[in-house]
Amino acid sequence: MSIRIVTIVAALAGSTLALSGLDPQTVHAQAESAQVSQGAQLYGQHCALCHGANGEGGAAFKTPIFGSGHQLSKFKTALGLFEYNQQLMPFDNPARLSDPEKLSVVAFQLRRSGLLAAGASIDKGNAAAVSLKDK
Amino acid sequence: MSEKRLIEEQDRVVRDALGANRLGRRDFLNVAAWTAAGVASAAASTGALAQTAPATPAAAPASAPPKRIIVKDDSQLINIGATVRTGPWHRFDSLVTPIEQFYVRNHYPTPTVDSHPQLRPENWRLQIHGDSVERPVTLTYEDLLRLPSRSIFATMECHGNGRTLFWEQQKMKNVAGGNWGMGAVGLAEWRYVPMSEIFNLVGLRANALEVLFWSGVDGAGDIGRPMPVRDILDRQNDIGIAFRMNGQDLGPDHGFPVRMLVPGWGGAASTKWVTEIKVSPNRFWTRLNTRGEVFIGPEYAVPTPGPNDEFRSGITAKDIRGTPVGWMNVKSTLTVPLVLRDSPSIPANYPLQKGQLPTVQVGQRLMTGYAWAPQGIRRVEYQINGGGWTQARIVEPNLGRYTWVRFDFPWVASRGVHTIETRATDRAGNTQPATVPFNELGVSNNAIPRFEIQAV
Repeated sequence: MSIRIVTIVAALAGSTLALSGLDPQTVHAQAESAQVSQGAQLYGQHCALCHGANGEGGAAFKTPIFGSGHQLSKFKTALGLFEYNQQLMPFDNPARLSDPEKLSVVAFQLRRSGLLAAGASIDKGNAAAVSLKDK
Repeated sequence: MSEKRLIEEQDRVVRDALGANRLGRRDFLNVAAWTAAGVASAAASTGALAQTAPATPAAAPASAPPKRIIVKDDSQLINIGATVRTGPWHRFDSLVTPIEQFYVRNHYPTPTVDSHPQLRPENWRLQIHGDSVERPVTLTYEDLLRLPSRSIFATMECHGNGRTLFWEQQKMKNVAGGNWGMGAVGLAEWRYVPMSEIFNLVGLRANALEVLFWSGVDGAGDIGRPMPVRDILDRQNDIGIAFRMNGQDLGPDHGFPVRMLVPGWGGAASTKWVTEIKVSPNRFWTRLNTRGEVFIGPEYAVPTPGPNDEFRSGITAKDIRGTPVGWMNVKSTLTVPLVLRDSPSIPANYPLQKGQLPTVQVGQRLMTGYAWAPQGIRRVEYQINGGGWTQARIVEPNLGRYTWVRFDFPWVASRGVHTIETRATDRAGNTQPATVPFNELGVSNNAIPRFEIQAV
């Protein structure tokens, strides 16, 4: 299965898609997965106010949550980060986003931290295999 | 598309989405909080000061896990978001704070004996070791309870308590953090094994420089904080390993089965769910004394680590951003909610809406409040509408060091809007200042608070 197909199917599905055997960190593509694109949109709507458009801190939180100086490694894997967001974010009301939406935001965070390749996406099944150690 | 173009495209999407919230930065959060959490009846003109309606928990999404973020009934607390609940200071009444009104500042959902079996008393272990102890030991819960213990009345306070004053009184919009109001403080009776007993047990070497209190259980394994050995030796009977709070086992949210207790210092020093104490001839650097729980600002120095220092949980020298917080300072509050106009967020079940004033019925009123300082309180004063300072009555008992006092004063409220300020002086002679210097994380604000009240 070519990456182009993965991308198209993901776009049609409109949300998450398992990579079924592909290592999410080694996928290369010319476009973002629909999940990461959605994550960027959701991040801007629901997260950027507190965390900053570039993830390096905003109106209510100063620790970078993606990009330069991020502390994602403390969550060990993408699943750990997702579970944190699942329970606790957005700060004012964690029920404001659905699980698939939160997974999209996590995918966006990983993408912007050099931990997920362009075109790749994650799901609950493979998230535990995505290490958050800095490359 | 090149990687650079892809990232640029993402940035555009993020900024567009952020900018689309045309309500503006502050209003956006307020709207989110008010609409989503289903909040809070505005304070009606009942004649008393506005009271909080019991919090209505937000409906959980179908996919949400059944786990609770806070274990205890938190309906009496003010939910300032995520794992953080401030005490309802406008309803504080007792000298000892009931557990249900005791603030919670956790970094992750409360670890419990169900989620973390190592917290079961029969499983719990405390490793005490390091290059500066003669006889490393591992204590069980039973071992700990067999050691001589003491009890102490001590306020516990989050360094962020009063952060609201940076936004509302000092117009420092660049301060970040949770909107605690004045309620991230409470008084409890703690039972603990003092560090003097621990040092006797393990034998302190002359080279001991710092002691790290560490939780191997909490969250992502990045929770713990060091103290200089000399700061412990100065008070080694007051600082210790706590296992009871107000006569009961610690609640899950407060560190069950065992936490540290460092009276006088901000709560961050009193590591919950402690499993390791390490005593070393070097310094320690953790998330909570580098990026968090530090004074960051032009008035504060950035410490330089030594070559042999120990760094934990991925922290490096470049994460050190400011002076680590330590001692708390002298503070006071009325049992009146602060008016919120400039805060970046309004807690979901805050008793007042944005810009709303608490109300009181005109006529003779008895105003009440609390004042506290590590050294104990000597005097509390109040000022109404800038008319000069008058001494308030301190309500006995005044237990002195580490504790707060209640105070009160009569006030004949005339129709209209009034401003009441309170100012405490501790037993060392320190008085609350009019303002405090900027620090980025908004910690340790003990400026004189101003309470606006509408008499109707």
